[in-house]
Amino acid sequence: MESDRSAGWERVGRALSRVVSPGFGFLLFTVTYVPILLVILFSFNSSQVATFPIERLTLDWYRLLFQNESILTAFRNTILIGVAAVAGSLVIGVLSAYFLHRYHVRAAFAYQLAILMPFILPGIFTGLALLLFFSAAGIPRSLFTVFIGHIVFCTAVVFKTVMARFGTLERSQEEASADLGANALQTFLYVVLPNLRTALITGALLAFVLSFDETMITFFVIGPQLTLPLKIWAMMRANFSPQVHALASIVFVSSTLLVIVFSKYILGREARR
Amino acid sequence: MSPAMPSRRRARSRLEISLLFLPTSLWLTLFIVVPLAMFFIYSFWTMKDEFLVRGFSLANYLRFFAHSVYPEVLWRTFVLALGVSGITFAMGYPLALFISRKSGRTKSILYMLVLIPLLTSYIVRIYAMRLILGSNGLINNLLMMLGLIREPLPFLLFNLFAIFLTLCVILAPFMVMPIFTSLEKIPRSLVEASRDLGASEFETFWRVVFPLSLPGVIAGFMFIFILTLGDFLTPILVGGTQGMTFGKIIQMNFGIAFDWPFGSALSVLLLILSLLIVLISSRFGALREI
Repeated sequence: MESDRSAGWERVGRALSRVVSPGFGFLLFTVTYVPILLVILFSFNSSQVATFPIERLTLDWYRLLFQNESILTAFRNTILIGVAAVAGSLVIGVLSAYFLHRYHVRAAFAYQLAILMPFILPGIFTGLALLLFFSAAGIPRSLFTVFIGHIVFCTAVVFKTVMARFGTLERSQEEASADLGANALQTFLYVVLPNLRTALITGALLAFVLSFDETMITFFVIGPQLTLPLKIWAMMRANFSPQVHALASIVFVSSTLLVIVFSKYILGREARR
Repeated sequence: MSPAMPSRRRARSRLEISLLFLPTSLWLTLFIVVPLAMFFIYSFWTMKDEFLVRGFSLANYLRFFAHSVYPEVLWRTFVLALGVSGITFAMGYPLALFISRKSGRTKSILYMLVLIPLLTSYIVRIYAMRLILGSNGLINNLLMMLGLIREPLPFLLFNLFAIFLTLCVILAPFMVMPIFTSLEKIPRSLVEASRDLGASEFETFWRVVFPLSLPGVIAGFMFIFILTLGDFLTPILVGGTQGMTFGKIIQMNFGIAFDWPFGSALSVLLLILSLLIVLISSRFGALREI
C-alpha cells in the first residue's frame, strides 16, 4: 500500500519533470518570441499595413530608415543620453555603494531603498515625480531633463551590481592597504576600484541597455527633441510606417548580439580566473 | 571609532565621510526624495478653472472615494495583476525549474533566451501583440484558414482581455528571473539528501525545492504586481476605450484631462499600495532574489 503510493508519486514526479515542465517552457518561449518574429517578418513585407498574407519581400523599409533624418537624430539623442547617464550613474552609484560599504550607517536601509526606488517601482512614479519637480523648479522639459531621469534609474542599476560585488569582497585587502600607509583615496583607487571592474562593466552595460529602451520615465520628461523609443511611440500614434518594424528588428538583433558577445567575453574570462 | 585614534586621522576620516556622503545624499534628496514629496504636496492642491490653487484641501482624495468608478478601476487593475501573475507563475515556474536542472552551456543559453525579449523595445513588443490579436492578425487568420470561424473575432483586441494577454507575454521574464535565481541558490546536497532518505522525486520537489524557492516566487509576484499596476503604455496601445487601468487613469490626468493635483492624489494611493507590496515581499526575503 505504502509502496504503491510512493510509486504513484514517483510517476507523477517523472511526468512533471519530463513532459509538463519542458512543455510549459516551450509554450512560454513561443508566446514571447512569436510577436518579436512577426515584427521582423513584417519589416521585410512590402505592404504599408502589417496584415497577412505577406505581399512581397523587400528591404525598402530599412533603406528608408537610414534616410529618415528624424529617426537618425532620435538615435543620436538616445546614444548621447545613454552614454552621459551611464557616466553620471557610475560616479553616483559607486560613491554611494562605497559609502554604505565603508561605514556603518544607521539609516542604511532607508538610504538603499531611496536609491533603488526608481528601479523597484514602475517608471510612472519617477517620471511623474520628476515632471512635478521640474515644472515647480521652472526647468523646461528637454534632453537635459531626460538625462536627469535616466541617471536616477541607471544609478539604481549600477548601485545594485556594485553592492552585490562589495558583499563578496574581503575587507582584509582594504585593511592591509590602510596598514601599509595608503590613504583613503589611494586605497579606493588601487585596491577597491580594480576589484569592482567586472561589476562596473556589467552595471554600465545593463544601465546603457535599459536607458536605450527607457520609455515610461522619458514619456513624462521629454521635450521637443525625442529619443528613439519616444520617436517610435510618435510614429505608432500618427502616420504609422513599417519603418518601425525595421527599426525594432535592428534594435532587437543588435542588443541581442551585444549581450551574447558580452557574456562570452567578459563572463567567460571571469569564469576562467 | 576608537578614542585613541589620532585626531588628524579622525579629521581626515570625517572629511572622507562628508566627501562620500554629501554629494550622493544631495543627489538623492534633490532628484528622488523631493520629487516624490512633490506628489504629496500636489495631491492637496486643487484645480479651479484651469488654474492651480495652492492650498490645503482633501478634495482630491474625497473625489476618489466619492466616485465609485475610481475604486472600481483600482480593484479591476488589482484583479488584472493577480491574473497576470497567476498565469505567468503557472508557465514560468516549470520553465525556471526546467532550466535550473540543465547544466553548463544548455542552461546559460536557455536562460539567455528568457532574458533576450527584454532587450527588444518595450513598446514594440506591446504593439506586436496587435499583429497577433488584431482582426487581421495572426490568430484570426489562422482560425479562418482552418475554417473554424468565418468572421474575425472582434473581442481579441482593444479591451481588458487584450491588456491581460499582452501583459502575460511581455512580463513573463520578470516571473522566471527571480524564481530561477532562488532555485539556483538551493544546494544540490539538500536534494540528494532528500532522495537518499527515500523521498520520491515529487516529494523532494514539494517538501524541499518548492519551499526554498518561495522567496523567488514572491519576488516574481511582486514584480508583476507593481509593473501591472503602474503600466499605462499597454492600455493605451491595446486597451482601446474599454480597457481602463489605474495607471492609464493617472496618465490621463497628467495628459488630456490636465488635472495634476487629482493625478497626484491617485499616484500617492498607487505609490502607497506599491510600497506596501514591496515591503510585504521584502519580509519574505523577496528583495534578495532580484
